[in-house]
Amino acid sequence: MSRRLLVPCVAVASALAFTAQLHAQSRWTATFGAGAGREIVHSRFGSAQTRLTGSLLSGEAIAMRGRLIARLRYGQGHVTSDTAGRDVVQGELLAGYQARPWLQVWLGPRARTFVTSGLSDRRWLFWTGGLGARGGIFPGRLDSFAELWLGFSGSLNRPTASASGRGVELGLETIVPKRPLRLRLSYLVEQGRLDDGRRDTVEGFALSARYFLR
Amino acid sequence: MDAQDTRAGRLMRSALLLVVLCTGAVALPGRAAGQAASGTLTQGVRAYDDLEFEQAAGLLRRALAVQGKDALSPADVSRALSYLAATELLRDRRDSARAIARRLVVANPRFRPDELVFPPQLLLLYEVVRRATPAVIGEAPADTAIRPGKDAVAVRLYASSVHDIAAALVALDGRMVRTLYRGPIGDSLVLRWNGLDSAGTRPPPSGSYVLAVSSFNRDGRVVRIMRMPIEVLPGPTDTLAHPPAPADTVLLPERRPMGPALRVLAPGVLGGVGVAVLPGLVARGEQPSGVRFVVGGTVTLASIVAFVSHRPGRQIPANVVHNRGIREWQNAVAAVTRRNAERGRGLIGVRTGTPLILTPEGTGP
Repeated sequence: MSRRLLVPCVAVASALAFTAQLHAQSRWTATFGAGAGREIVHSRFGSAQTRLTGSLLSGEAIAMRGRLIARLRYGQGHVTSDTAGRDVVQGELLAGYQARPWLQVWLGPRARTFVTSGLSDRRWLFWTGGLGARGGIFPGRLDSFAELWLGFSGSLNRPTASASGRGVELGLETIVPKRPLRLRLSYLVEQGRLDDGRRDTVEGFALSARYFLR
Repeated sequence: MDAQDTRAGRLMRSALLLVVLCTGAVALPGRAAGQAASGTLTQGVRAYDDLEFEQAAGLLRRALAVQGKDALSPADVSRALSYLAATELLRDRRDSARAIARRLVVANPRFRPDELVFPPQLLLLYEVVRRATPAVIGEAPADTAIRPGKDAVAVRLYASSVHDIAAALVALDGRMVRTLYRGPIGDSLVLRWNGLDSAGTRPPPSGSYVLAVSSFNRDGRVVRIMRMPIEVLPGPTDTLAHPPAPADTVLLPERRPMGPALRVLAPGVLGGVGVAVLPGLVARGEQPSGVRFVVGGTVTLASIVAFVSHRPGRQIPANVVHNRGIREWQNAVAAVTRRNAERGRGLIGVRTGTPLILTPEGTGP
């Protein structure tokens, strides 16, 4: 593991250990979600560019205890253009802290892999820090949310190079009355970029449902 | 065993009877004495009418001797003294009759014996004694309030005979507060005190005072002093009762506030702006899809609907009615307070007590 990766790992582990002690008495809550979305992938290298679109299925699990949050997301789909097609696999494992009722701080790795038939996979991996905010539009019934992340360390495996990345996700979340269920409509855009100008940009529109367990 | 119980029961009954008898023996004489004062007077008057003067004198003296709450009323005292004076006169005890008549004059300078009941000798004797016994008694409202310098407290003096008097308001330490009158009095006289001290500029401090009326004999000596307690009080300041307060006196907002409406508008507006701006910042060099505005527009539209649903600035009728009731109550309280302040401004309270006639030693009759 490179030194650049070691520092974020230690930071995340320390944060988890410290906050876990603080909230040892709190109860766990868990949320499971599943969703489907449409993705547009823009790949550029110099003057060459490709635009692929496709669908993606995703799932997530969120565990919360006191102010501590852990989130695991996984998504898989296929994007195509007129001439090419790729499988897309993406995932993240984040540790978060509920700083305010409306504000969350996130730390953790995010990865996205493009699998092209006959070629080796192209995987973006970022160690990220991010902020999530939530505001009630019809409090208790409809919220808006936004999440912005920045990769403070990243890499691409082919060609092997360090990378920078950032992303944002915005949307609406409605609470189904009298049920532990939430429905989300979200828009996200993320970009991974190398110093030589190569970049992959992903736009996504997703509908998902979240189910709460106490 | 039964015999013992029977004997014990008898003993108990005997003891109970003894206690009841003792209690009755202690309680009954006091009650009888209370009833006896007026009853003895009636018996004394009946004995006088039957010309049993010895018996009448004894009964009347006994009636007059009763003290405390069972004593004769002032009117009965005057009646008893007049019959006793007549009895003594008819028993040919003129000195005693004169002394009793003097006592009657001092006790009630306004008293005049009934000409249809008593013999002319008594009427003459009483008249002579009355003329020779200068004394006054006063009557005044028990509790009143005046504006010093504008209003006055009236004290009506009744005299036993024509004589000179000096009336003054004095403090309990003997300090003269205000001379009210000095001169002759005939049958009666009205003293007026305007509530000011001797300087005539301000009322005396609140406290206890005495209206002292000195009666002079022909030699100019003080032979009687009537003392009427007078209490000067701060002016009444709350003469009207405040209206009862409603159950809840906290004013409520009459219009829907802007804050909550802005709080639901802000996330939507920020979300809309974020959808428009952030993709361009995040995905540099790319042209984000216009479809993102569907999400951004939905967020913004939802927040606008939420903002409108809060109806900021619109009246809340229930709160308006609630506040109207409170304001009416507040206005009523303010009006009462104002009226009470107007009523109480410059007022002093004057409370009078029962007058007492004193005869300085060695100055009789």
